[in-house]
Amino acid sequence: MEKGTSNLKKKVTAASLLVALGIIYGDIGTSPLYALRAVIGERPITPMLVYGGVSCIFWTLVFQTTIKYIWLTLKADNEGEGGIFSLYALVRRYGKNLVIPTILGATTLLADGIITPPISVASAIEGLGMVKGLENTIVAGNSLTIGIVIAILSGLFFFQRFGTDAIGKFFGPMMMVWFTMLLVLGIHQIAIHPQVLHSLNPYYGYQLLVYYPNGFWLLGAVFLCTTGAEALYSDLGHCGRENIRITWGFVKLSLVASYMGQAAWMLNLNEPLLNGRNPFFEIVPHWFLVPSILIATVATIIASQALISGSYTLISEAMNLNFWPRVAVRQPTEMKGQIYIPSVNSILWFGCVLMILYFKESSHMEAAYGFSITIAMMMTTVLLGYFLAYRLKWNKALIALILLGFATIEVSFFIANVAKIKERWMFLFFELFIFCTMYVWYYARKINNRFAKFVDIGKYVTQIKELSEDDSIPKFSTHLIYLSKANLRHEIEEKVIKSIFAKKPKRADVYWFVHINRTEHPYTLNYDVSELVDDKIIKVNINVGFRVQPRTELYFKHIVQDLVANKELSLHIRPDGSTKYNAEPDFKFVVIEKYLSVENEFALREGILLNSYFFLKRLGQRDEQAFGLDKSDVVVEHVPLVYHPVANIQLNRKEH
Amino acid sequence: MKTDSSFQFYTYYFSCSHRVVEIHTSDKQIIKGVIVGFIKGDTRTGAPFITQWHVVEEARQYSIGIDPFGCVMGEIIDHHTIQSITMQDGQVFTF
Repeated sequence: MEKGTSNLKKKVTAASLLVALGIIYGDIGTSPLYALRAVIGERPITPMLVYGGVSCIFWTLVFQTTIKYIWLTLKADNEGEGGIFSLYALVRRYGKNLVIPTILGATTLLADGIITPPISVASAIEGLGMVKGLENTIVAGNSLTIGIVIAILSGLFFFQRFGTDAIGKFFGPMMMVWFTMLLVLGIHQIAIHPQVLHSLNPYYGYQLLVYYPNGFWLLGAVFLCTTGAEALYSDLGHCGRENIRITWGFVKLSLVASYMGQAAWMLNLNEPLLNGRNPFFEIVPHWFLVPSILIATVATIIASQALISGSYTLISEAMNLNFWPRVAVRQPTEMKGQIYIPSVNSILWFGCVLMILYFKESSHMEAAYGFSITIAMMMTTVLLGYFLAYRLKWNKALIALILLGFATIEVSFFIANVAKIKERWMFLFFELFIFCTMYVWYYARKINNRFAKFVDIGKYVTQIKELSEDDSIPKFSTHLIYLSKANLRHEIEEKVIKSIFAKKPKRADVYWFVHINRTEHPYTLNYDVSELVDDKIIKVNINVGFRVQPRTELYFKHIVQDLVANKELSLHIRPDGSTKYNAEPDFKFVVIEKYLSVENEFALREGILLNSYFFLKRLGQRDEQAFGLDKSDVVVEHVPLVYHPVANIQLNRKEH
Repeated sequence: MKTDSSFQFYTYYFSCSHRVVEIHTSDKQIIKGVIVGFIKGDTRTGAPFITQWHVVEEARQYSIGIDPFGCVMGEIIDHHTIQSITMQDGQVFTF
């Protein structure tokens, strides 16, 4: 049951490089559609602004994307997987409070992700307004343009349930076409105005930030060029580090060429203002305008697809690391790792449609985009510091220097982006909702676990054997299976023993205690078995990686087959004659579901956490569904949880 | 790294056959009985391996520690309040 994937993923071939282009660079690759336009905005076009803007963009791509993510953060792969939760899984043992930066990072990544699809698709569709004859039909912000964007996004979200393996193979070639287009169009403009190459000098960036009126605040717009950098790391598992690093060279060249090409066009414009024009499409020759808009639209759809898939992965990892309530996860295709989460799909679709209806046009969205990603990046930097210090064991002084450098850059971006809050206040509710859900789920489970009492199973072995052989008690099941949190061989929860013996004792031929151990490695899938009493009491530990969807019943049946094949287990086929009608062994899973007893007195924080936790639990998937158990084989027992019973009851018997 | 005393005692206790203990707590209580249950701490956050021990009289050691009305029998002792534990075989653990 062991799977190995990281070696395969690390292979570098022409095909794997093409796949990387299609998966990794959607977000960062479509930024030229709006980033430089956002820097210029409605300001007068001056060499200081244009040179400075391109210089800032170029050096942001150098420091924030190339050095921080491509070189440094990609080192933090967890068995080939990346992303904030993988990083957390790598470093959590080294710091007590790393949960908070992890939750904050994941929350903000999801929240700003809601803007990526509408801003990208709207930017591309608005380009149609430049096509002769459509000038008055496609106008940024009019009903038709909004309708087209909503239709494209709705279609994209609708088709998620069918998976993307059929069309996914075209993503790489399409992005190759996209980046080649950026490169050719950019170089064409640079060749006409080669003086624009001077903008690579960081001095122009410095001048813009320091001497241009309110120049520092332009960083909010500059930051749009690197918003997709966090996604590079999140998608590490799909492509492998080397594929990303190699393709980044080509991608960066294309991006820089595109930004410089746009800058060159502006410098030669001889008009004081952009007047709502998008320099990205202005550098496209007229005969190529419609194909370029089509290519741009496809590229933005691919970017949106990457973001949607990334959100599924993020929530799936959050569930497996106990940060998110259990919700239904589907596997739409046979493709490994491809998942579809209906609830996340609905939330994202609703959020994206709301965004486009609220902001109406891409230029308005630019003013709200980027704030959350700065927080996500800062949180990654915190976790990265722990990774460099404790996993790579780098020199502390060097780490301090690196962190200081990135902290300066990211805090500057954060401050410049804070101004966007007034444009994006509605996001705060969404972010608060995600943050609270993760916080409540994580900490309430911790409180919950604090009250899970374990017992030594060895002490009850004789009683269980006696019960199993006591014919005076009706048999409950041939194989009785309990899911347990006890990871050690001789431990079991007290509530399990109570469930076996209390009220009507549960007689069975074989008692199984199955422990699902979530490992820090993403794709672990193996098990070990301890027979505490031969053919009578069996403890099974199933180690499941945090990227694997648990299918307990399937795994369990596989383990039983293994044991029977190895002659380690008798199936105890029913001797009552019923076997001739149904030869399938008789299994019964007992799931013990907790509910909050009324007999509790809480401190304020614990009360809020636990009540919210049980509320969320009701909204989420039931335990038996979450563990992948077939309904017909499951008995659910409800157990009251008494954390702090009401004390000092003064109950007196009335004298007659 | 500081050795976790609760883990040391846990390992010893569940590997020996004489399980009657005498626990001396910081508030000068002496509790004699058998450990029937324990609550585990999250060691990743610096908590001890075992945070609480459930002790009942020896005669009730097979009773799951809960009476017929669902009330807890015996005592639940915080690990950090334990000063020492004397085992039946004379072994003494000082915390």
